[in-house]
Amino acid sequence: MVQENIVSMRNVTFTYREASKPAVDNLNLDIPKGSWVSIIGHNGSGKSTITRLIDGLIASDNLEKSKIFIDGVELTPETVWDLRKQIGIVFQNPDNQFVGATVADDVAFGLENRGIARPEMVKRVAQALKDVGMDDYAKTEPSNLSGGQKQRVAIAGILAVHPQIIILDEATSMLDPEGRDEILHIVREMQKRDHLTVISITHDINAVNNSDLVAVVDDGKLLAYDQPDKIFSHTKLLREIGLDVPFFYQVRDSLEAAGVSVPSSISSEEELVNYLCQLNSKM
Amino acid sequence: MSIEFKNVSYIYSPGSPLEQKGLDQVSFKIKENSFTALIGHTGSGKSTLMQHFNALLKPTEGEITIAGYTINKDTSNKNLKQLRKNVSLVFQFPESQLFENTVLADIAFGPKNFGYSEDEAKELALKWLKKVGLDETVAERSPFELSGGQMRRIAIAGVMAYEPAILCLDEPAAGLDPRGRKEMLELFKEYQESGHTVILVTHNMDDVADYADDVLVMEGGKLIKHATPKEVFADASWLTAHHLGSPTAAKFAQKLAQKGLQLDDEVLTLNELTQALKAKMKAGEA
Ligand SMILES: Nc1ncnc2c1ncn2[C@@H]1O[C@H](COP(=O)(O)OP(=O)(O)OP(=O)(O)O)[C@@H](O)[C@H]1O
Ligand SMILES: Nc1ncnc2c1ncn2[C@@H]1O[C@H](COP(=O)(O)OP(=O)(O)OP(=O)(O)O)[C@@H](O)[C@H]1O
Ligand SMILES: [Mg+2]
Ligand SMILES: [Mg+2]
Repeated sequence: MVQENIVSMRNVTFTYREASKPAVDNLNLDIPKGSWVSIIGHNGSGKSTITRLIDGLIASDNLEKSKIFIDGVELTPETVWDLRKQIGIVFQNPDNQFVGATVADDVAFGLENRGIARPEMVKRVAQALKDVGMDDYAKTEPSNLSGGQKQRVAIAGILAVHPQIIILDEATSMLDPEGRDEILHIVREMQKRDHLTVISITHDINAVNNSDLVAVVDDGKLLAYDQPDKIFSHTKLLREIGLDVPFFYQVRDSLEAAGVSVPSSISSEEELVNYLCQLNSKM
Repeated sequence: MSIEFKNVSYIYSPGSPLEQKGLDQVSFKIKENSFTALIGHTGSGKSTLMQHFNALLKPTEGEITIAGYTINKDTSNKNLKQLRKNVSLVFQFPESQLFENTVLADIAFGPKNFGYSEDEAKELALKWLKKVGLDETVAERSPFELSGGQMRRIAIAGVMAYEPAILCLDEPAAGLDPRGRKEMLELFKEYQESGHTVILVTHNMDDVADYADDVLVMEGGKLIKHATPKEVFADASWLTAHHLGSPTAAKFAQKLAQKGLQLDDEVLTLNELTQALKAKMKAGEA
């Protein structure tokens, strides 16, 4: 069966006004429907720009040569309004997201925009706020929330809408580790249940590890695109461009440097733990 | 001279239906030239506490002594300039701190405001632009036309450029790429070691283990622990009870222990883990 792509980017280049080089440079990227794709790359590598292109907030330099398809439909000035309704973006800075006077209004905004009837809207707002643990704050002004609370509300606003494509741009960067796991778990449940697609920009290695595919972006170009374990095995490449490698690789290398040799065949944390325990018990 | 909070409470919108307790009877003392990590859950009061260090918020109750100032509810907003030169805060969302037309002007604003000449300020701005890992080509660009991580670096440079004695950082590494995060934390550590006080809000327990010598833990507006990283992370059941995590190296050591390899020392960092494992293996060989 041919896998269906919910997003297809073909030769997409984008240059910001007055910039000397493109922020996204001849990018080709296919995102399978129902998948969880992480985008990683250093600061300024073009990650947020890619998501703005997918959402049609900006248009590529040369519309003749570049094409973006969302669920099989080409993104054009005519289709952008309808296509955007299928996409929910949580921006890097939640302050750029808030429009409502209260938390509840804010979460309702996306629903109003999509013409959801009032009773259904009220139900969904309540559910989304409960999901992210912010039901006590429904009447609070968004600007009076803590950083992590703002991120939770921004995510609720997207969950309420049930978009086909959820884009999370560092959406959990201000959450404590337990809170981050909880929220990602909720998004994942919804993704599986409704066969949604998630595109997640993150520097959190555990979140990256739990995705189906990882896109490595460097200076606007796609350097690698594969399953997490395959990506992470390129430790040299990742280090060169300043990205993290999983902790067990760091332990392995650090032990080697300290004169404790570890077989290079070891490719998971469990294998390393088992190896070290065996080594110890043989002594 | 130390920084001291004495029974500090803070209430947002007192007397209104939206009244909300931010801080609840917080007392502690931290030494100058220390590196203090401030941790706790979403909404626990970390940013509220941070804004008290330079009197952006003033205690509803209680008193703070810092950098020769005493701050309480009656402290007037006049004459706070010198305090804010000495005690500076990098906000949780850095965009809110940027406002000039160019990156260079933005970083130079602080030094100029605190008495440096135009030329000195520009020089300092260029120096700090490089120190936070950006190159000169962004100097003349608008700070609002940068990526999230680049904006954060500029907000950090803008505060460090006038070298406050006490540097308060509210999740400064959120959104930084892994290399940037490491470089920036090394920069803060270096800053502390060269004779400044650093207070850092973070959710990253590895940063706490790697860099801090003192930890404040907040929960529901209360200070629930003040101890060294070793002490905080030693008590596994306390951590679990308060939903706090451990550093990655400590978690790895736990996995080893579950499979029968018990290390001799408590380890919090990659380096400690490596040394403890090495000691174990060498002991076996002997
Ligand atoms: N509004 C803008 N105008 C001009 N240039 C911009 C604008 N936004 C970003 N850029 C530039 O485009 C490049 C890519 O930026 P982008 O925001 O896509 O990076 P990113 O990978 O999301 O980085 P980060 O991890 O820091 O958020 C950077 O060099 C940045 O300076
Ligand atoms: N301006 C404000 N008005 C009213 N309440 C506020 C305001 N700012 C924060 N609060 C509330 O005070 C409490 C503490 O918030 P604070 O911002 O100090 O938390 P925090 O520990 O920094 O959390 P985070 O990790 O999410 O940034 C929260 O319940 C928050 O909703
Ligand atoms: Mg970005
Ligand atoms: Mg905060």
